[in-house]
Amino acid sequence: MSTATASSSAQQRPRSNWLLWVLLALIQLGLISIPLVDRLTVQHSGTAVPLAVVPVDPRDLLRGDYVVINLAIGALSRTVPGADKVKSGDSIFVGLKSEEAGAAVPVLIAKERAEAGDLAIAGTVRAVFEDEIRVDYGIDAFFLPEGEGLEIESMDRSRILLEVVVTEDGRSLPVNLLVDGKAFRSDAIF
Amino acid sequence: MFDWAYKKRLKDDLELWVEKGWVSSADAMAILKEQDQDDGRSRLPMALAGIGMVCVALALLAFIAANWGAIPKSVKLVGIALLVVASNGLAAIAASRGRKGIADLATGFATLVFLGGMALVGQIFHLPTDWPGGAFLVCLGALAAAWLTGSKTSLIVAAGAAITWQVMRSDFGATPLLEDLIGLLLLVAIFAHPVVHPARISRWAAISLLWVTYGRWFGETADLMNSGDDVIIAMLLAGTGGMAAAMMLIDPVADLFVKWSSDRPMRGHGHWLMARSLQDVGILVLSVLIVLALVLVPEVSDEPALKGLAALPALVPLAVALALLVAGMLLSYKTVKSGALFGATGLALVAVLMPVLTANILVLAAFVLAALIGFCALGTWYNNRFWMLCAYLGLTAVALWLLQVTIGSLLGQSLFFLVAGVVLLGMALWLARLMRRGGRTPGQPDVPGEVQQ
Repeated sequence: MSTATASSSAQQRPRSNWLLWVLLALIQLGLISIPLVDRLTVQHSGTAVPLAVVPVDPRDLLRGDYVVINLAIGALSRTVPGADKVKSGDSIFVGLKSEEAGAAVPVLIAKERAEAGDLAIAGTVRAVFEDEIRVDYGIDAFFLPEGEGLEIESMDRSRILLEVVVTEDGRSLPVNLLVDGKAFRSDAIF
Repeated sequence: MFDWAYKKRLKDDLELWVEKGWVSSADAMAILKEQDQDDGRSRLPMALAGIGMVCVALALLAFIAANWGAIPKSVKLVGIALLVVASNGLAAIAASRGRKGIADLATGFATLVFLGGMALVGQIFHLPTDWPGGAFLVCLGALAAAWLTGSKTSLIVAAGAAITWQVMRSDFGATPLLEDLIGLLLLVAIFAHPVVHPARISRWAAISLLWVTYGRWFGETADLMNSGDDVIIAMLLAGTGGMAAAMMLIDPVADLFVKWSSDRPMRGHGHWLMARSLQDVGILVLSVLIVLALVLVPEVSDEPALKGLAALPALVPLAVALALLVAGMLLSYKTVKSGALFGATGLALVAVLMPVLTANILVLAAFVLAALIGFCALGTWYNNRFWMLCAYLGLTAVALWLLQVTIGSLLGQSLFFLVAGVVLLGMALWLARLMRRGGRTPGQPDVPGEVQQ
């Protein structure tokens, strides 16, 4: 009896081993899909806003060529309404106003989304100086095929805009790199 | 990794055993010859496989870096999924054939593929650069691999990711209670793994995470307190000193408790090895702290403030260490060897805290020297060369520093070393007589019930 049980458990062990790795693969795929699903929801529910950028061309060990995105709204003037109420480390919403042509401009800073107007991007205050506030929006890179980063770097920066999708709650993602108003590199999710 | 130390020790021991007549000269020769012939070639395949796994993972990362534009995103995504599934499948095949080492390596490779897949998805879809968020997800995936399959390689990835997350997550001052709790859970999950699946490198990784987690708590509290250097230095001495002392004491106290109680729970070698690693790290940190207490603290702070001891990251480790010390002292009243460990650790803790208690450099120097000599003696008694190395390095640093800066006058310095030397010589004489009279070393009876004469 005990021999039979032992032999049947020995037969079952490899199958249960397989199940462990199947479960592991599912968990890992599930984890990879979390940021992807987040990206999908932002892209489908957000509004496209062009923003001015200051690009340079580095190369990343893990991620290949990309353009470092220094958003112009990353440095906000202290004259923007609400700028006097924030300190380093604060989570803020920057109200944006779209222009007819060219980049959207920051019009106010608020700590609550409801107070930031119809279109607002979420960010974190990194530093507060006498005349400006440095804000991090989590958008600091736009990946390009190998070699294209250098092409962007050599362009006049006034020709370049980054089209960002901003959701109702302030989350944002870069979707298009615009040169002279036309998509130089489109990166809609599918 | 430390085979050379073992072989050196074996040669020394054989010399002694031959001298005492326990081992014949021919037997000693045979043992040494056997040791020399064991050239470790059986471990070559696994070593090469380990390096190969890292090379293939690097190739994968370079492939990611190539950022190919011609392949549609949906195809890339399916490719990532297939790669994750295939690498885990490879590990499953190895495990089903009973190749434990290869299965561990393959699971580690699968975890690296998962990490690369996460980076690749971030690249393809221009996800915001969120290092802590990415590190957190990688940590969860690697932890799942480590616990589901027992993979030690994955545990190291998980510990690295958890350390990255702890260092890079929200700024100090944001009081993220939930994040702190998650940090504790990650610590428990990672720390328990090498106890169940022992491996030296995963023990080191887990202990590193323990210190990083403590450092995060310390940093957050210090930021909230917004106090001066005097308070922070006192907090640092008490907190890190308490942590290191607790690491030294937790195992002998648990041992004594088990010996005194009627219940004797089963203890695997994983517990034992983790306890030894904790003790090694504890004595290393204490030795460094003792030296810094004398050499650096008086330079940085005039008089560290007692107020610093009241902060939780100082108070909790210190209270735990003191409680373990008192419990250990009580439980070891019949066990001289354990008593010596508690005494030496207690003295070391006092030496670390001494700058907070007094600014008198003479008193401070005396306690520091006494504590390091205590550790030297402890290392010798326990026959632990790593402890001896830490203690002697600390003692050398302190002796050189004392010679350099001179305590008071040259005559005073001379008197200081003379007193220290005479005390030590007296102790050596007393110990030698005690051992001659007893006909044994003081450490021999190390179980309760064997009362010291």
